[in-house]
Amino acid sequence: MFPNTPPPLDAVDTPSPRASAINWRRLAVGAILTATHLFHPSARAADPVSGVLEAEIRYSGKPTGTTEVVTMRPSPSLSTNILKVLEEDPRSLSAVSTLLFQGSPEEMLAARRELRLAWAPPPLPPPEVESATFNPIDQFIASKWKTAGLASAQQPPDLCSDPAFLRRIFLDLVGVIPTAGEVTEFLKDDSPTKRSALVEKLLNRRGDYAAHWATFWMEMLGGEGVLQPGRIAAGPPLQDWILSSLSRNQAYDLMVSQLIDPTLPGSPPGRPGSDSRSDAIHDAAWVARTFLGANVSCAACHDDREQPDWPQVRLLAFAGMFAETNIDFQIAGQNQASPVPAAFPIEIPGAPTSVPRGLEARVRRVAQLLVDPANPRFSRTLVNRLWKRFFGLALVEPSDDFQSGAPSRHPELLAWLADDFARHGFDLQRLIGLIVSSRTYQLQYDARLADSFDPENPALPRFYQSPSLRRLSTEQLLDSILVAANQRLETTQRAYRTVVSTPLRRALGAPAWRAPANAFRPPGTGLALPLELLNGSEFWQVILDSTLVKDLAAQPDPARGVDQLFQAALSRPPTPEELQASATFVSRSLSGETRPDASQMEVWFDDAPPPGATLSGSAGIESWTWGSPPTFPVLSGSKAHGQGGGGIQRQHYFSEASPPLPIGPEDILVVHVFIAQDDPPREIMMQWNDGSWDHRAFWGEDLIRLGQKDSPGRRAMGALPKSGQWVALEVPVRDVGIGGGNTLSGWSFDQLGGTVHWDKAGVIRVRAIPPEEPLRDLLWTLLASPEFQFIY
Amino acid sequence: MRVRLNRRQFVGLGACALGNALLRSGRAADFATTGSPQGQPPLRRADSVIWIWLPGGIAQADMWDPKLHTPFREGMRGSELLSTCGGIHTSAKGISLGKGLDHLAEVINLGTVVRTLVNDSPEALAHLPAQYRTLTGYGFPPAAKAPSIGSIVSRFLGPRQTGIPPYVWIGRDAVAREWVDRFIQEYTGAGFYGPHFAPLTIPNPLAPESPWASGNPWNRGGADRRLELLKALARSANSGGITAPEAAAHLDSFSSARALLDSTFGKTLSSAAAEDPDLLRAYEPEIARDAVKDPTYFHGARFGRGLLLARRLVEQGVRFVQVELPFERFKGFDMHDHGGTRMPELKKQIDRPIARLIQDLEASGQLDRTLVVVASEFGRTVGGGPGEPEETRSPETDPTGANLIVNTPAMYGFHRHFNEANAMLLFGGGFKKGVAFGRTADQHPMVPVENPVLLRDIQATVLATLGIPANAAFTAHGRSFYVTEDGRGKVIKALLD
Repeated sequence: MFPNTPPPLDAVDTPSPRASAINWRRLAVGAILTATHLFHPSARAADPVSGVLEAEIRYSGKPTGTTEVVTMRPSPSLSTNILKVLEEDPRSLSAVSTLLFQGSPEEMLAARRELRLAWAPPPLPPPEVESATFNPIDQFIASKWKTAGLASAQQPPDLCSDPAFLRRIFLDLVGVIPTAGEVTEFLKDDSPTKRSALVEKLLNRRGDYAAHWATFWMEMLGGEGVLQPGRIAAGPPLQDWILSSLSRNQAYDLMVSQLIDPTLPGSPPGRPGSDSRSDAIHDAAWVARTFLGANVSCAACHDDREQPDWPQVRLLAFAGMFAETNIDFQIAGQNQASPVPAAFPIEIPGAPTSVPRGLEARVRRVAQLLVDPANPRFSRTLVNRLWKRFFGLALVEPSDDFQSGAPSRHPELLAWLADDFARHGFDLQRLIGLIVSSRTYQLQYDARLADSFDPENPALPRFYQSPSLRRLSTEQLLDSILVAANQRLETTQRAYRTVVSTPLRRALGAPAWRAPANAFRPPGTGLALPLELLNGSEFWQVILDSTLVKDLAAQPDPARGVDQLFQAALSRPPTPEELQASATFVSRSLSGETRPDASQMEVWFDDAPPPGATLSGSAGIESWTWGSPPTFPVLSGSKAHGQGGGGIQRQHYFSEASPPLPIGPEDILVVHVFIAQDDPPREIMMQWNDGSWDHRAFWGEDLIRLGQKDSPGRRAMGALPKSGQWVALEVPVRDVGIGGGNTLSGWSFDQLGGTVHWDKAGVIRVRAIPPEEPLRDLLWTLLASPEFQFIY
Repeated sequence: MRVRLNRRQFVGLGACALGNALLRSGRAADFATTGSPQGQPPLRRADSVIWIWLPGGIAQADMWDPKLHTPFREGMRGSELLSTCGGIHTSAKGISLGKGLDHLAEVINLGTVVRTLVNDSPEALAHLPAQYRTLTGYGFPPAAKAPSIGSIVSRFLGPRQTGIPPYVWIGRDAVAREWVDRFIQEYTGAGFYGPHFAPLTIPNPLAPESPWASGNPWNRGGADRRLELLKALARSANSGGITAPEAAAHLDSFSSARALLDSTFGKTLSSAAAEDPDLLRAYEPEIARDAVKDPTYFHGARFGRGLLLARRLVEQGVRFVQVELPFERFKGFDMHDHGGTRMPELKKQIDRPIARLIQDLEASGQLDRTLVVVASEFGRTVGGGPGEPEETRSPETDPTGANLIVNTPAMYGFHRHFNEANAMLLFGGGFKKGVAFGRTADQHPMVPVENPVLLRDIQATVLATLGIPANAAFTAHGRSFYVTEDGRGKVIKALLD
């Protein structure tokens, strides 16, 4: 099981000299005062005028596990002064604390958390179950299997294989697939704790962790800001702040406090805002949706018929918390407007319901109430989102909307996990570690057991006997194809860093422009994705540039690269069948067995001679006779050419075609011929001119005495083709002595007797296949496969 | 009565991951009989739409609703500037078009000019929100990202032919770097309908790019071999146990895409060579790149070829084609200076190709069942010129332009955004022929004085000609989302035959 203690903190979290000067006593005073002023029930009993406070708190702070009981009786003057300052200007709370007590926001928050947790109702303990479990998550899940009478209760589904786990955990924690080296290392490790060791190792790759999770947070937390009302941070400053917060594993409640309350040290820069009313409504709706799981955007304009517990006035009341004064309720078409008293939309036990004056004080109050451990909606909303991220389907769907009456699947689990998250300092990495260490997360993908979700019927149960199939996100896919192709990925190459919208990114579902309204990418793809994968330049460029393919192609036997490509792309060795199929594919390609046929020819001329050609023949230009059905059979276009009648030798040809036809060394000349069934010739011949006419091929009897027998000047091609149908005649240029790099300007059609028709002539381009090509084809195949495109 | 598709229809329409499902036709009938909104039966007079999108905001007094020509005079007041060109007679009695639209003038007897389109939302004075609003019918910022009309039509009706994508965009750059372009990509398209209902895009019909192009540096001819290997590997015993329907659908989608590339549709997109040179010339603009003052904004050639391509695609069964003159800030129709000289150039980029399209559709009989719409996001009025940076400023402060002194030729033109009167052209699909609807004031402010038309009503009318009720809805975020704003659009019968 994953250890219960959070992972070691980074160097960046080492306390500054100033912070380390804090002593527990002073910190406790700060905590008491904070709590007293804002929340603590004893404050109601205390006399704020005299300022005499007496409180006994159990404080557990750093270092972890230290517990000390502090009894404080602050001097009346000190308390009075502080309370007075706070009364006048509550926003100076942190300034006062910092000045007097050297308490950082982190420590203040930690202290308040400690006090307020007492107000959080304890969740039900994990139920006892008999089946195998790794941690409490599994107990909740397995107990539902039992209640529902599922076979899994008796016979729990299998764990996924090591390669599947490796790939899943890499994609989930750092957003890329492992390299072939990492695959080998993990598969050969036989330690029983190698999975939890890997989890810890990946969580400590903080740069990769932050880079991967930045997209999730950006989409959850905000947009581009441009054209978007509201004052909360957005755009590049928000992204920088997210990266910095994630790489230090900042507590979630601290992050949200800093985001909402721009006066807190460490806050990302907010935006200036434009119009106070729409800014306030926008921010309120956004906070409700993002942090309280209440999608109330509709209520910005009208009562939401389908969400009766969030009438417009409730949102407007909340919006008042983001404004200097209360927000007016305006009825469309009427001039009347009445102010709605500002209020936080959720009742929190033991928290003040009074509303401070002024924008900054109100926003600060929102920040405090929002992250209050006694407000379980806050932690549940996040836990639910993360659950969806890891399992494909959230406990509450839609995941940003805990609508009244919308059933939560596993409400006890959600409550327990959220409470555990709050009780462990809103430590995101710890929560993630807990989820991925569960047996539930490590179950094998099984299409028969995986849950499905129907938006029209959200009440269908979900049992999590198998993860749901998840398509790789745009960033996971773009980053992972680079890892597969090059076995490395520079931070600067990661997809999230490039703010650009391309056809492939859109086909994969990435928004071109981020805004809260599109924060949740719709599932599925249209036809654009297969088109982009098949024939799009972005996907192909990665394959063309693959250093892995280049390295493997340089080996003596490229077919031996198959094994490596499988490890690199699919994070596992190929099965014997796959190995054989792929190796055969590579060697067949290289041996030229897959060369194109006549249907892929490049047509030189069809219904007319090529441009510039001078026509001639045994009867002069008249030898060229073009015809259409019913007099002539036609294969292609509307005409064919040919002649016939009598037992004589006939010929028609052209020369001086311009531009001439360039010839490659492996090319094959093609023409289609139709021999009349009732009047076959004794022989047919073709001649080509590449400066000389001494390039001939014939079918049938060897009667036309041109060129030297059995040389490129007169090459026997076999019997006459079958009569009464169109037949493609193919002549490799090599056989008739036309060298690569030469060009053809003349073509002659000769026959001895009979009636012969000709149509569609040209060349099949055959290239010498470089060894990279079949390896690229194989890499493409692996990257385009469902196994690569989905997390399963 | 509200039309709501049941679960099975919803899945059939694309909740499943099948690319193939998208290409199936013939669902229209099921849907059209589901309900008749507000007592009006769906009309169903058109099967296809060509939506000609000219963003930037068009000076309607120089184009679709010409006023008295008032030539430049140094020191003239804005209120005296009524039109930089004046009108010309057209093939339709009672319709005058701006000078320079000679070709359109010949075919306007086949269409309706709506002159009094009112966009009654304050945010719609800025280009991007207004474009979003015009194409989706909803205000910005949205509670849920609304689908554009092309997505609505193609989702409800599907393609006209099996195997043909229902929705295609022509003329917009594929790669969007600047926030403006990214916004447009994001907000004019499928919205919450998702990628299933997003348009396939043809950025430049003059030079097809991947994935349509055939001359890519990789071996496209090898696609069949690769797909064969892909299937062989997927069949092999232990290919990761991918037995999920999603995986099968993913594999199937390659076959659909491969077939599409080789289809007439795909070939039409990858090459324009098959067209008669005379026909190609007829769709060219009447001005060349080197003849326009700002050669960085010359899209007429690609636009014109796009219209020809649109016609071909409709012939092949595409349901909705959008052809656009791309939006670039302060370029094209987004003119904040020199309107008097820039308008004639713009007209030369679009006039002949649009008119030729209408002519060809009429000649082939397609216009009966094809609706052609010409639209922009708003109109323009006097002011907002050089030195007036507030492009979105409402004309409330100086509604008549009486305080504006037009000192230089650069200031001569309609440079300020105006959403109180916009125009739209509609050909075919049962719209009246040779009729101008609505009248605007002949003096500033040139607001509607007769028959103002709400955007949602014109949308309801357009959708009705396709048989889609104005209150048809799909579920977004657990709520019904209507095809016209809150389902309130009303069909304007007076526009229809």
